[in-house]
Amino acid sequence: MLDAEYFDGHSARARRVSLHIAGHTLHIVGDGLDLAVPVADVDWPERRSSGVRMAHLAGGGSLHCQDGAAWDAWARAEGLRDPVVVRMQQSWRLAVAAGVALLVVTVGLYRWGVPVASRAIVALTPPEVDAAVGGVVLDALRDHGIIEPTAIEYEQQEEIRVAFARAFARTRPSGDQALVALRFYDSELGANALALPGGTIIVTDDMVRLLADREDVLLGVLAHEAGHVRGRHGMKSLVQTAFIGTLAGVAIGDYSVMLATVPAALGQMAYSRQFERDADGESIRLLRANGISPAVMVTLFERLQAARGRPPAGGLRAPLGIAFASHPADEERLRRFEQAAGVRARAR
Amino acid sequence: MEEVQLGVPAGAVQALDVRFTGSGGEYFRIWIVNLLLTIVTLGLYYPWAKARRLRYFCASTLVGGHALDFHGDPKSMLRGYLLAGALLAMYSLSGKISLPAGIVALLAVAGAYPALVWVALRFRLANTSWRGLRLRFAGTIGGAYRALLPAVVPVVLFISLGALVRQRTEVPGHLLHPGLALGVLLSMLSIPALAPLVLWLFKRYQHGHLALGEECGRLTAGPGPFYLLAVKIALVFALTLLLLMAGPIILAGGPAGYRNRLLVLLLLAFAYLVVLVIVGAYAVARLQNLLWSNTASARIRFGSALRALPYIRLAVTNLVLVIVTLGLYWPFAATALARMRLEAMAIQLDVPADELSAEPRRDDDATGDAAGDLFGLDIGF
Repeated sequence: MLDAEYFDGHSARARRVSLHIAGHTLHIVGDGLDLAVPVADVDWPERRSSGVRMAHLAGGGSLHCQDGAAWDAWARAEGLRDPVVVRMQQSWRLAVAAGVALLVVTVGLYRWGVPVASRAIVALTPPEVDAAVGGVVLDALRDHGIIEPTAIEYEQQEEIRVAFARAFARTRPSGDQALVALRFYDSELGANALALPGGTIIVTDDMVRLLADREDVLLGVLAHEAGHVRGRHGMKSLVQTAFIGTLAGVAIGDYSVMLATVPAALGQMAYSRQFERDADGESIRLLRANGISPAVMVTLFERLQAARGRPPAGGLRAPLGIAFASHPADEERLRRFEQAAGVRARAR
Repeated sequence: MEEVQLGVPAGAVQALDVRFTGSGGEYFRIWIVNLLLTIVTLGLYYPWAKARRLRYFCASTLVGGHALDFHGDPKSMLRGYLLAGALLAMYSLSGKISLPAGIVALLAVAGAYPALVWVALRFRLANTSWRGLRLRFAGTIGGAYRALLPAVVPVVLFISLGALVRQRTEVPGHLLHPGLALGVLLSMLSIPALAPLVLWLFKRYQHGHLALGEECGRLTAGPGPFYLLAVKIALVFALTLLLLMAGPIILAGGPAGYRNRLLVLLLLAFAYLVVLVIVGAYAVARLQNLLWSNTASARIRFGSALRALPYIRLAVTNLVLVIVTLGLYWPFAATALARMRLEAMAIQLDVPADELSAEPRRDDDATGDAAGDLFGLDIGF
């Protein structure tokens, strides 16, 4: 027996009743009432540490009990069981376990789930979509004045195209080389090269000038960008951004949509660093296939650094820098090119 | 007000206090289990999580000693979310296909928006009860269109004219039609100029149709106080911006800023976040007071005395703790904010509560509620 208040849903008047369960029927008795309701038809309240318990009856009536502890004791004695979710919510141990599981699932999704899903989605996406997306990006770069018509002579452009096509062919015995199209632009980005989805590689005039006397290094740069194209990194990164943005939004979006972009951006940068490592791998492959030591890429980093001015000083950049960077640290990349050169030297 | 009170027998006036009994620790456990299940099910569990959250917050809100109750059915909420999600996906996709497709989709969403708001208001209220009585939203769908028209028209005009201008200026040497330029400018300026009016119209519609039984609310304030509040919010924004951002900006411009660019950028972002939180908390507190101090029905009067400064302090503390704990503090923050907001409310009945009654009704369509959530429209008390 349990004392409770009954509301019929039509009037705000509370009626004092007592509850008991016999078999599969809940009996509500008192204040002129004698109701029998199947236990299965009642929307039972969830156990909580304090506060009111409210059960919903079919037909709009409800039962309220101000004494939560008494309700819980009565419900247990009558054989009503808590659902699993409620048991998890009411135990700190299980809730913390849920937190740990959440962390594991999130890390798993981030490390494997999202990359695998985006790889699958990109694999199912026809290459025409890449080209369309690349076209949109190219238009946007042009519209915003980030890239302007090139000042590089057509002959020099063709020389670079031919040299790259020849070098690229050596890495592909089967001869599939109509993969990328080099396009030259003057740009405020400085010495740089960008791979767009679909196979367009933008090379800035500054980059051509920076490496005017070092075709071998320029080949390495182009191979790196071709690696992005081959891996469809641009498309994967679009899909990953969507995934990880949704994930972060679900997790903390109800607090602040603005804060939710932070983990999304950090996660995206980590994926981007992995893409850069893969692209560096392609660069090393092409250089080796053409009998060039990967160590020549050291020249690129030296010249870029000289062009950029002194490296940023201050202790902060070292620990925080990597989490906030879309590329791995220069030192890491340099070491890799040098190691690749060393391996090659020993093999010879 | 006066003539209403004349008919009430002396001693029948009853003040109901509002108390919030939810605890941060308990909501933390509910929240983390909800989050795990939502992620594991790739979002499908979300309506159940939301229903559980609303039930917890309702059951923790005691009005005159009796808890509110939420009755929403997660299954119909799921249907609503799927529908709203499809609408949103269609909208964001069509914008990428072509300009006309984007404008058509924008018009479609703008055309459906008042209807969605109406359904959301109905769903939320019809599924909230007090002492067994379901609340009700008595507004009509036509009323929703009338209330939201001034909000929708300038936004649609601005977005479509802006897109048109961008397309025209892509052609080199093409001169912009002066009428078009004026249209863009006017539609752009009309958005902030109309915002307080839009808010007032919407709140008048929302609070004017809150119903419990025969009682139907009314917003007694005119648009004037809304414009005054908007000016105050703008001033608070300018002031906090000046006070909090000046230091970091000077620092960023200096030589130290150049050396530690990243640190300064983070500092700037954080300062701006604090500004937004301060202004947001100020606006929430003042708006709650303005709305509820001016909402009454024939026999029920509401009041709100939420003090802005303590509420801002709480919001800023919450922000810092949420960042420091990487989000784990959020459930504690949510319950603390709810407690302060709810316990600032007061309700006065000019009739014994027992004498209130309601015709039974059921409204099950959750589509509007879901769309309201997805499109960032926060509905609730």
